[in-house]
Amino acid sequence: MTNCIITGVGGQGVILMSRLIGTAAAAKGLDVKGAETIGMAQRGGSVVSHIRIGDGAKSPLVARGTADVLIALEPSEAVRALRYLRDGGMAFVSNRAISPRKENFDVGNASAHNRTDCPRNETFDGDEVFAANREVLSRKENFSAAERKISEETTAVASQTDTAIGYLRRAVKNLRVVDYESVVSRCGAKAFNTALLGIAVSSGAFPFGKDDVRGALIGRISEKFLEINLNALACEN
Amino acid sequence: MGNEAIAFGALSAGVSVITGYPGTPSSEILETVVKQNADGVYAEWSVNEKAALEVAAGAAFSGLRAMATMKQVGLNVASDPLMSLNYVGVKGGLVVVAADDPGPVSSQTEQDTRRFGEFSKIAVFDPSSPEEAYFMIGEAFEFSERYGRPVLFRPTTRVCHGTATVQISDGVEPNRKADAWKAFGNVCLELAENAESKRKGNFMRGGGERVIFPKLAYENHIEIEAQLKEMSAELSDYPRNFITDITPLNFSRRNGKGEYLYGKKTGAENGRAADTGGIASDCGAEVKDDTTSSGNSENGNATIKKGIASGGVSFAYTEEALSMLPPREGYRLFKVSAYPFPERGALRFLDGLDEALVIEELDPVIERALTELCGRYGVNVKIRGKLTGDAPVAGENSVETAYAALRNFFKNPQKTAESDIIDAEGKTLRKAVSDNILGIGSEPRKATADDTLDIASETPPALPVRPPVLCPGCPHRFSFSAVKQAVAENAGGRKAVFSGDIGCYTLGNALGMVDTCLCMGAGITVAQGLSRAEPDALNFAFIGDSTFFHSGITGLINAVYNQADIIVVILDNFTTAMTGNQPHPGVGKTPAGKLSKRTDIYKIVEAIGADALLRVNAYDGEGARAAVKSVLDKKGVRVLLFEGACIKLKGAE
Ligand code: SF4
Repeated sequence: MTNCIITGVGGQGVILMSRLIGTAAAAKGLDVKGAETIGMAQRGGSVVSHIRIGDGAKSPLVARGTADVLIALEPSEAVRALRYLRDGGMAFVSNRAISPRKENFDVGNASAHNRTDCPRNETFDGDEVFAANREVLSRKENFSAAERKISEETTAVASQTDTAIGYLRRAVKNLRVVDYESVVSRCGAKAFNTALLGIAVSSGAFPFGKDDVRGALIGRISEKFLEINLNALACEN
Repeated sequence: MGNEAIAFGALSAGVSVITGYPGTPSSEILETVVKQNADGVYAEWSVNEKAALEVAAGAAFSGLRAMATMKQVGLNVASDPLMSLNYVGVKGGLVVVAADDPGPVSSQTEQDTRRFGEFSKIAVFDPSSPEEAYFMIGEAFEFSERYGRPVLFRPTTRVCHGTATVQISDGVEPNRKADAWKAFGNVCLELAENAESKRKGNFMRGGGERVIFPKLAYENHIEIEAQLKEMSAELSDYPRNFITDITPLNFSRRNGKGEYLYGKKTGAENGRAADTGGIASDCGAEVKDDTTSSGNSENGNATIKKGIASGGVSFAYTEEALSMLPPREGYRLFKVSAYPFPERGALRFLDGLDEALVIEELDPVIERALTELCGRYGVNVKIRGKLTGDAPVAGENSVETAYAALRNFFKNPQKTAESDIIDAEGKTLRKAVSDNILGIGSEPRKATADDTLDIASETPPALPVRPPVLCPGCPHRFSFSAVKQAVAENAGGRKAVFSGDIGCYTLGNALGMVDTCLCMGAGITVAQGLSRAEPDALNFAFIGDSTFFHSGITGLINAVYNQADIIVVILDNFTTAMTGNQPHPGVGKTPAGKLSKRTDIYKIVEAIGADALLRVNAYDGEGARAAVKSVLDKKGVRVLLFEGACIKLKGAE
C-alpha cells in the first residue's frame, strides 16, 4: 500500500493533483481511498489531500507517521505536513514559499473596476457581466496596490524558503527539492503541479508510471490546458 | 468522491426527483445527479432546505422516489416539514440527505443528525465510506418505501469528500437492493419491475392520509412507535449493523521483541451479524434464527470480555487503529450503521462482555443507547466513551484518536518501532507504528537510521498561519471598503455595528466588517434587535443574494412592518459562491445552466416597501460611498443593493 500526502496553499492545484493520482491508480486496477480539503480553506488556506493506494486501507485519512510519499507545492506546508511522513518516506517539495495573504481594505483605484451598468433584464444570462468583470480584472493596471502586492508576495520569499527547506533537509533523508523557477521556465507556471507530480512519478514514488498520469490528464483536463499539462508531465528536472 | 457515490447510488435506486440547497459538505450530490443528465430525473436547487424537502415530499406522496440534500444546519431549516412529514408518511421512498460536519470543517455547529432522527422518530442511515454510501442509499430508499416513512441519510465530511474506487452500475437496478435484504431472510417489498414506471407519479386523492390533523397525528404516533420497534428489530439483522468476534491467534515474544501475529476474524468477513443468542433471548428480545449462522464458535466467545462499538467513518479509523495496536486479547466489534438503534443486535454484542468502548463522532448516540440498554435489561457491562472521558467529546476523530482511546482501553503497553506486525509465515505485514510517531505518547519522534539528523532536538520553524481570505478582485472587498470609508467620513461619531450573515462575505470578519454571524438570514433580524437595544447606533446588516432568497426576505419584511431603523446591504454577486457557485432565483438559471425565470431582488425590496432603496455598482467606489452616505442620516429600513459578479463565475482561469 502506498500512503501519500499532497499539500499546498488553496488555489495551487492540490486537489487536481490528488485526483490525477487517484485516476492513474484506479486505471491500473488499484484500490484508491482518500480525502480532500474542500470548502473555505480553498480560499488561500492550507490544503491537504490524503491518498491511499492499494489493498488494506480502511480509513480515508493517512495516519501520522505512515505516509510513504509527501508532495508539497509550498515548503512551509511541507514542514506542516511532515508529521505524516514515515521514517524513510520520500518528499518532493517546491522551493517557492508563499506568504499568507492578509485581508486588507486596499482596493486601490476602485473606479478602474467601474462598469457603467449591470445588464440585468428578463433574459439576463450573466455572461455579459462576467465577461466585463473578467476583462476589467485581467488588465494589470487595474489591480490595486494590495492585489499587486499579493501577486508579488507569491513569488519567492527567500528567507522563508531557506528556513523551511533547511529544516526539511535535516529531517528527511529522501528529500527532493524541486526548483520552481527552473521548472516553470521550461513548463510554464500554469502546470507546475503536474510537473511536480511527474517528477515524483518518475522517481518511482507511485505504483504507476507517467503513462498512467498521461491517461488521467487526458480524461480530466479540458482541451485548452491539456497541451501544457502534457508538456509539464514530460518535463524532467 | 463520496457525494458522487451517493448520487450514482440514488440514480441506480431509481430516484426521480432530487432537490436541495447548497451547503458544504453536501453540495456535490445534486451537482453530480445533474451532470448525469439521466432521463426523467428532475433536479432543482430550491430556495432553501424547507422548500427542498417539501418539494421532495410532494413527489414522494405521488409514489416517486425522491431525495432532498442539505448540510446538517440546513436540516434545522427543514425541520418543520420533517417533523410532520413522518406523521403523514410517504408512498415513494423519500431520503433526506443531511451531511454532518465533525470538526467542524465548514459549519456553525457540530450537531449530530442521528439525534435529529431520534427526535423526529425517523430512521437514520450512517455510511462509513463512499463505497458503503453507494449501496446504502439504495437500501435507504427501499426501507423508506417499505415503511412508508421518510428516512434520514447522514454522511459526514470525510465520507462526502472522501474518495474511493467504487464499482458503479449503469442504469436502474431495483433488484440489487432486494438481494441485499433477501440474504437476510427479510421480506422484500415489491420493487417496481420497470424503472420507467417509477418515474411517473400518481397521487391518490381523497384518502385524507396526507392531511395532518390532530386525530390523525395521534393515531399515526401510535403506529410510528410500533414501527420504530419493528425497525429496530429488523435493523438488528441488517448486514451493515454487524458484530464480529476477533481472537488473536497467538501472541509470542521472539528474540526479545514483541511480535504480534495477526488476529483472525471468526465472523464472516464484511459482516453478517453473528448470532450469539444468549442474553438477547433471555431478556425477551426475540431472536430470529433465519440469519445464516456464520459458524462462530461458542467457546471463542466466552473468552471475549471487551467490546468496541463504532459507526460511520469512525469505524474505519477504529479498524485501522486496531490493526496498528493490535490488542493482545480477543475482542468483539459492533458496527452500527442504521438507526433506530438495533437493540437486539446490541444485546448480542453486550453478551458476556465486561466492558465496551464506543468510538463515534459528534454526539454519544451509540454510547447512550448501550448505557440505557444495560440499565433496562440489567446487563452488567461498563460502557465507556465520550461520557466517561475515554474519548474526545468534540472535534473530528482520526486513526490517531481511535488509537489513543483503544490503547488505553486495552491497556496495551507503549509500542516501540521494533514491534512489527508479522503474519504466521513471519512475513512483515506492516511496520509497527510507534506511539510517538502517531503523536500520542509524550516522547517526540525519534530519529532512526533513515533520518540524517535527530530532528527531535530541533524546533521546527514557525509556520505561517493561513486564514482563508476573499479572492483577489472579489466584489465584497470593494463593498466593505466603500461602507467602511463612508461610515468613517460621515458617521459623525456614531457607533456603527455590522451584522453579517453566511457566505464568502463572512470572511469580511478579518476586515472588521462582521460583528455578528448566527445562521442563514439572521443578519437582517439580528440588526433589528441590536437597533432596538441601541437606537443611536448605525446598524448595518450584510447579506448575500443567495442567503437573501434563502431566508433574508422574511427578515426584511419584518423590519419594514415593524419600522426598524437599519441599513441593509445586499451583496449581490449573482451566485452562491461559498459552496461552489450554484445558481439561485436571482440568477435565473437551472442547475444544468439552462435559462429559467429570474426573480429581481430590486423589485422584491421595492415591493416590500423599504424606506430607501439604491442600486450600487460594487466596483464603483465613489458611487458606492456616495450611496452609503446618502442613506446614513435617513430613518427607517434603507436598502443598498451592491452588485458585482463573483470572479469565480464562469470557469475563471
Ligand atoms: S468566490 Fe467569489 S464571492 Fe467568494 S471570495 Fe471569491 S470572488 Fe468573492
